Amino acid sequence: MNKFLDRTRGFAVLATLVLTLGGCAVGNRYDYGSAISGLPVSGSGKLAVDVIDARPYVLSGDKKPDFVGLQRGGFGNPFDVRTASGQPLAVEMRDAIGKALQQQGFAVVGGAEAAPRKLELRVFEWKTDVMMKMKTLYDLQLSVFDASGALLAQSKTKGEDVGSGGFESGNATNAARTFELRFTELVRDEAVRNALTTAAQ
Amino acid sequence: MKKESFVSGLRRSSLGFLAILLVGCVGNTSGQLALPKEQVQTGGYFVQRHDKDTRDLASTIAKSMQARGLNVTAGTAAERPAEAAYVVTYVDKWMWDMRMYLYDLRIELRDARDQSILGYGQSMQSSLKAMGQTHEDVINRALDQLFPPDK
Repeated sequence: MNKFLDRTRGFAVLATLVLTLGGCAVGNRYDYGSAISGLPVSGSGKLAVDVIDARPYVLSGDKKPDFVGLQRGGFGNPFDVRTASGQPLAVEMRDAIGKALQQQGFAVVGGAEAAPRKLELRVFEWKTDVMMKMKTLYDLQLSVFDASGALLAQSKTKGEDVGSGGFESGNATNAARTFELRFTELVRDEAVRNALTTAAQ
Repeated sequence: MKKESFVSGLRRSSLGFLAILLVGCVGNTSGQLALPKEQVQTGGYFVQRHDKDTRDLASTIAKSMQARGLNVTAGTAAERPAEAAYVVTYVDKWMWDMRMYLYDLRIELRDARDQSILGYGQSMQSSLKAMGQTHEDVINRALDQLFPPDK
């Protein structure tokens, strides 16, 4: 009987500890698949689109490809945040980019398919870190290639954005919007826009 | 010995209480704008009211933008004038703590032609921080991030 009481007490302490330290921080998911509402470029031709996850901790296997950042509990203890779909981050980002470009008139095809132009986003860093504030670390490179694989234009952005941290849904919205803002910034580059619009005639 | 431990416990409790009070006062702002300075004052802006906004924050945002010398109108998506160059949208999150208060407001600026994002301003405040503040105060804080004085 005493053993049973000890176990119950132990379980209660453990449960309280998990709730106190973790709380709303466990199991958060962010959706990047519909992150982009519009892009400052339009065209009508075939465009191959690819997103390559080059984050060092993903390449080394320390983190899975669906890892998108950290949500910290009450004492700063970190929990992994993953993509909403469970797919790799590169797949969700590619979905968002593909949908937005299709909306702008392009006929989007897979990265391996032959097309007059190829748009490639290389993600060297993309990670959110949330406690009271939300920090987004990013290092992105956008390249446009012609059909032979020659580089036509390239734009880069690297840095960290700090915004409000809150609950999961708000953080997910902010994460998606930050990606939209940073990707749009890359597309707004004049050389990239020219390479894309001349692509697709 | 017992007295010392009581004093040290009291000190620790006071620090904990102070930390809780400080956390209760949390608020922060963030934002950025990709629009060049010379274009900010030139185009017409339209603040698009969302379906769930029963407080008509769109009109309040428009008034605050007008006070900054911008050419702004507000209304539903269907009422958007064709000449509007920029569309302003917003996400408002409300919380209850003995009263409803505006916990988080994010104002976004988009190009009316292609809906591409041009910038955002955000203001988040906890219940204590929001005490005694109006919607206009929160809106102005978010707008300060979107249209900083030097822009």
